[in-house]
Amino acid sequence: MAWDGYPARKWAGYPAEFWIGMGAYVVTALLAGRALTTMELEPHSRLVIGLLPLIPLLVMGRGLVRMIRHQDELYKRIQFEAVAYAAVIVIVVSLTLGVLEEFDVVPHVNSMWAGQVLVFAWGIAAGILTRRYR
Amino acid sequence: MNNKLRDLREAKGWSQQELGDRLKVSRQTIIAIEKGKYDPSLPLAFSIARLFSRRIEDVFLPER
Repeated sequence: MAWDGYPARKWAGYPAEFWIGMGAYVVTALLAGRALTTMELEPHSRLVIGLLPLIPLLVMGRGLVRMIRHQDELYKRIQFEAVAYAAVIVIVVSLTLGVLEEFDVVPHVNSMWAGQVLVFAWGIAAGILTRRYR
Repeated sequence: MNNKLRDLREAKGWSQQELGDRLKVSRQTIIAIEKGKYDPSLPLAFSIARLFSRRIEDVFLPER
């Protein structure tokens, strides 16, 4: 694995709650999507069901933060810089896209892309920064 | 910041991994410090100096 033996507290991968959260998110997102498309529901019920996947997402996020918190200082610095780069990319792209959408230059797109771009950019930036410190 | 970590480590006959284990940091952190690509935090710098029974200024030298 490219992590070269770090973090200091022997690399054990993401904590269990991260994987549990991810698995639960997939299940709840699928079930919520199915319920919202096939069932006749009151507006408030649709809102509650639509927000259900948020719970496992928060569990996943907690796992990720806990993992980073327990790593050594260089790893934390790499992750911090990587998140900063990813945030800048998402802010620039979302603001640009927002302006273009506002003036009907481009069609409206679902904002779910923002999270995916953030995670993708974070991963790429972390990989590049890890090489920089070698 | 320059440092003498590599010389001190090699004088002890320790690998980078072994030094990392003793300091509770990763091997990559040791590599980055030795190459001068990463300046450790003050607590880690003190831990390094203490491990080699040196003063911190004997291990880490400001760039001139």
